[in-house]
Amino acid sequence: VNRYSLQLSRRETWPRRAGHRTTTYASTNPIRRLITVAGSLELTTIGLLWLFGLVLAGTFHQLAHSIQETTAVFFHSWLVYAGPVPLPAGQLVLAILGLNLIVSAFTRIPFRWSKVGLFIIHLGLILLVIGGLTQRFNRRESVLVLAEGESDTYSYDLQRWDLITSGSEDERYPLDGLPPQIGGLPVVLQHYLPAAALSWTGGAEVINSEGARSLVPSTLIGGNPVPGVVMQFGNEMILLHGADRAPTVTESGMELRIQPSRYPMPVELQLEEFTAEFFPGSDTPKAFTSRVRVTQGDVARTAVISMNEPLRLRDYTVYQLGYDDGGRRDISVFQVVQNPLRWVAYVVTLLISAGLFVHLIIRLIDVRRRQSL
Amino acid sequence: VSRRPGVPLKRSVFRHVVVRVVAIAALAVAAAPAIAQDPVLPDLAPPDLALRDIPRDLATVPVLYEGRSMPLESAGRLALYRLSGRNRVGELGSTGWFVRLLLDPFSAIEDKVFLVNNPATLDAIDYPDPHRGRYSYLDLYGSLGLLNSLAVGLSAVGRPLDATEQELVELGNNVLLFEGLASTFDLFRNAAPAAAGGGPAESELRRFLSTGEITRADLSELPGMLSLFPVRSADGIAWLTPSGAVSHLMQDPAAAPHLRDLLEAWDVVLPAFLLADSGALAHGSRLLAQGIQAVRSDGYELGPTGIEVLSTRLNPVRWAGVALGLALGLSLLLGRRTRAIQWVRLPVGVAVIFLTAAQIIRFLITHRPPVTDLPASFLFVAWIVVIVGFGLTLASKQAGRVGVFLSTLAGLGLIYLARLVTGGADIFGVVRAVLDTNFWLTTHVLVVTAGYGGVVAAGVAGHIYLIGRLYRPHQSASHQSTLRIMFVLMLAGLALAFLGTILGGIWADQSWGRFWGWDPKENGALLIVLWASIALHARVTRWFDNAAFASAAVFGNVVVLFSWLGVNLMGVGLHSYGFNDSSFVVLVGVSAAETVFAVGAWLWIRFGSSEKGMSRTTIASVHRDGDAVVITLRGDPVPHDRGQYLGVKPEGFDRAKPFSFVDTAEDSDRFLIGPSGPLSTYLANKARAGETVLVGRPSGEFVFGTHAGRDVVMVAGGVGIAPIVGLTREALAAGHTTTVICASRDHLYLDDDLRKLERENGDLVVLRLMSRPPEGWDGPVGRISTEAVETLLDGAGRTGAGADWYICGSCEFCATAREIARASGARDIFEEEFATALEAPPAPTFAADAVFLGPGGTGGRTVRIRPGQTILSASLDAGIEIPHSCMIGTCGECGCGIAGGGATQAVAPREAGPGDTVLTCVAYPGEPEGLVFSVEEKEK
Repeated sequence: VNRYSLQLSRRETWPRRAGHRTTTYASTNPIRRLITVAGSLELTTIGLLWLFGLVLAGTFHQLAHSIQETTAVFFHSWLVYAGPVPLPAGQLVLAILGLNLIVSAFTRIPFRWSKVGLFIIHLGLILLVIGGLTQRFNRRESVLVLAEGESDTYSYDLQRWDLITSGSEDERYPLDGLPPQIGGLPVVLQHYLPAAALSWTGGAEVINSEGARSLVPSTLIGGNPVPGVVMQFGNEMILLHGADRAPTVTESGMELRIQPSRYPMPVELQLEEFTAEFFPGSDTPKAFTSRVRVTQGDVARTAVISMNEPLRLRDYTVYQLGYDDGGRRDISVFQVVQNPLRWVAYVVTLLISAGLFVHLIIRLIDVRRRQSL
Repeated sequence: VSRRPGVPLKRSVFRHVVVRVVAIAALAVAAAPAIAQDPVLPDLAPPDLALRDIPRDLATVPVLYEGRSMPLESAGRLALYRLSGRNRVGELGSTGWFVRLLLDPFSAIEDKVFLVNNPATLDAIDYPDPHRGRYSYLDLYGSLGLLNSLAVGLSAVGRPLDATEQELVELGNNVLLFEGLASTFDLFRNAAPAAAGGGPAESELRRFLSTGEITRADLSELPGMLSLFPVRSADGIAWLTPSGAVSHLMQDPAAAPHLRDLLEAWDVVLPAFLLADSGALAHGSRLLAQGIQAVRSDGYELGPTGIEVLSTRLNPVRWAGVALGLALGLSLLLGRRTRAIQWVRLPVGVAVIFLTAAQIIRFLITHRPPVTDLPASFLFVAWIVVIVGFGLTLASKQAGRVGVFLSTLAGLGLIYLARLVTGGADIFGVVRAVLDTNFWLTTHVLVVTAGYGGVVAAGVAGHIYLIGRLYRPHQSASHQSTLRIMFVLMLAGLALAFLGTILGGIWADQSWGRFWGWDPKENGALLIVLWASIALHARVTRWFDNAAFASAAVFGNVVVLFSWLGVNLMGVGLHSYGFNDSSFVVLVGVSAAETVFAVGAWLWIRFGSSEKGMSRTTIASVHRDGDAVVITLRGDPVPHDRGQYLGVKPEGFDRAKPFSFVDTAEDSDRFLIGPSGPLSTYLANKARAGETVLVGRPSGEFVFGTHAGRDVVMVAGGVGIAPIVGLTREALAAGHTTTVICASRDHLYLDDDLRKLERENGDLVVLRLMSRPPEGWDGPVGRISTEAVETLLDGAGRTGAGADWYICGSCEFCATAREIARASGARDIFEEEFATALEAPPAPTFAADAVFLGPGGTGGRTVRIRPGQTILSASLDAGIEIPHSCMIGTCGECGCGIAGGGATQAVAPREAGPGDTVLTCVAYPGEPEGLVFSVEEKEK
């Protein structure tokens, strides 16, 4: 018996037979109608179609914008604006599709052994959507750049930036959560530009160590965007940019700058040697390898990190991302990822592959049987 | 042109001439690559050189190029492909060009080998007349300094480069490669300073070989110099350039004695080539081959160059193309002949063998999954598709036809694409660091590429389906078979592409800690997954009918092309691995053609001639009545007699199903539809107001025709009440005393309408009987039987004796009611069965010729009915429009009189003879000759 039907009026249900779907569109009960729409295959199709258009737009958008920018606009957001018109963006569409999937599992898809493959696939998909959304808020991605001989216990998040005061390492305030007062002076964030360049013309009276007057959107394509902020600090307007060479000094003598947020790593990493190998006679990279010294408390050991061979430390994984492109080939760039839910993707893969193949085999048997008729 | 009797001349000409021409053209296309000169070992025949051929020994000498040992000719092909994106320079093949570049660089500086796609690149280096094209070293010579400084500068800017900047860097690197290759044998050419005592000038190498000394210590190595001398090293084999070999010998003259032999052999080859002395060149090449042989016998592992040479000579991919072309031509020539599939299967099988060999060879040479670059992945998909097609030829005849077209069209197309991208023969390149061997990468790329193959194969099946629907609109069985194959291929494509995409995510997670990054290539794979999902889901929701699904499958090819080639052309993202201009033209051209075909074919099928005789209308309202619905159509009612039915065809169904008019009101057409069979179930459960349906013409003999004075008894079982309502009104209007008996299981359909009629007409009595009544039912309970009916009639003071009985319901119900009517002393009995699809009788194995006479026995056209073809299908193919509707033997629309011969059919009489009517949609000829049918013109 359909669980859902039981809660509703008996008159509106009809017997379910093999091959028949119990639909409820004729109902006048608004809640039931809503549930029907929420779990309908039509909504799935519209969602998929929308996602198709979104992905296509997001792909072409990258012709003129950085991948981070595109991701933020199209995929890691709830709404995307076509001019003034807000339209559903990636997160919203995926959330709707996930909800649709869950509702449909309870209301629409009757379990039959011939559909067991589809069931497993959709279970995997539900897990994928839930896992994706949780990871979106659970997973931390940061970067570590080391020259040979250098070491660090922090990794740096190029997407989130901190305000640092007085040059002290301890006084860090995340830009997206500034306290109302720092050092007894009121702080108000006036303007934040995630991808900013400095301009030496126009603007109001601001203080900046480079002498810049205002911020303009960066026209740089690709790479990691560098942000800029204009903030009121006491009575002064301060302009800070991620690429400022020196801190900006306030009237009260406080030194201000912005830097990527940093996360402590469970170990200290020291780059001992970095090698970038290229195919002879070409600029095609063959392998990047970093030999690092991993120090945890009193214990130190050597590890080799190369492409496809990351260093795994509990929830942390350190990957070889590349080398410094600035003409130097002795600076190694690592990606540090903290992700307690890595296993989700693997479970999803297992579920979906199992489901797909079960369903395919059932379909093949079905086609074969029909052809033999 | 021979013409079959009965086939119009125009059609006959089309079939015979056009199809044959296409077949011959296909054969010619297949033959072309076989006849065409193979670019592998081309003539080296500039007029100033007397040499005809590069000796085989020289072309196959192993060298190190792009990090892998390979025959010299393969290195030449790769190098030329990298520089110019093709495999020949004017009349010169890649091997000839490469050998000349190495041995006689001054002749090579005028070869136009540097491909520049973007004129802005030439602007940037102050080239005087910039246009897109290929340039020689000499052309660029004046701009080389600027090019070099720009390329070096741009390599170091540390930000992503735009297309022009990328091309500048690439061009700079290509020039470096060219210069490196050209200086490989400098030592052999540079004259040593004259010896102290005068004497003839000799090369530095000659001096070194004779004295063990080198006068000018410039043994520097340029990037791009070719490494030709293997020596043992700590990690196996190291390959040295000539300068490196000399350095090695200087450090330890006894270390590698074979180096001296090889240097001496090259020292014979070089002057022989410069002097165009073919005898000496052959001798030097032999020395080289012997030297290499000696090195191999010393236990040096120089890689599988032998296999590569063999593969280059055999070129299995080309032969696979030939076999597929042959299969296509044969299948077009043989058409639908009985044994055609067996004949065509053979060349397809041969193609499978050749393509499998190509895949194995590729794996043996590169030690990588055979999908490391674009042409390789084309060939991999071709392999998959041809195997699937071959498998289908083994499955069944219907599937075999699809399989043949699938393997030949998709296989040839993909092989052509691969050749187009590489400019000819197979190349075996190297892969970038992040793409290097890794379990997840290997499975990801293999699975996702196989997924592309599935979607492409479904697209080809979509073509076959759409062309079939356009060309032979009535061969439903064949279309259904294609549709099923297309569905499974699409499902398989979706499964593999989805799985491959997730595996790609895992690989990305393993490699750089990011499961998904919205990179264009990832998006491309996702687009394929999404498109396949949309097509499959929209088919279930019936937003896509079969033709739309096939069009979506065809458009799937465009999506695959975009993901496969398009994102590479965009020049962004990690995955871009190069393109050239011809692939862009192919991409745009094929995408446009496919889109036009998909949309055009769908529009034609949807709105074109294939739905002749049906008109489009929309559903005005849907009201539930138990498990059935009452559907009201919008617009003016169709003129009909009460009791008749109308064929209704919702979107997405291939054929209409007849439904009786429910004549409760005059202002619109209404139908009662219960859930039985896919079409009715769809209408009963899913149809909604505003939906478009196609309707045919009203027909049916179940109309009111009782003589005045008689009583009328109407008996309806379940939804059989539909025509009874109208008939009852008709009977009441004619003044008959009317009794309606409604028998049902658990719900009385149209009961409100009947009660209204009862209230309005004193002469009407409605008796109700339910076998499983709902709670609260106080009427009689039970199944219909003589006793039950008599009790009911007696209770109402009515009698069935001498009355006309109208019966409607399922077959079993009608049979029972008929017996009751007879037992009650009925005068006339009219009945209508609601039948389900009839099983056609076993199809005959012979073909038959039948003559179709027009109305009144006029005209007369002979039609060939093929084995397994129904009489209706053959007549429709021949252009004789027998009226038809349901195609399942229930509506009776397609009935024809038999004037001669016999036919077997699904309804009684099963063996129909002269004088009988035969339902042509479920009938086959009973004998091969002497069949004559008379087609009566039905009243419209």
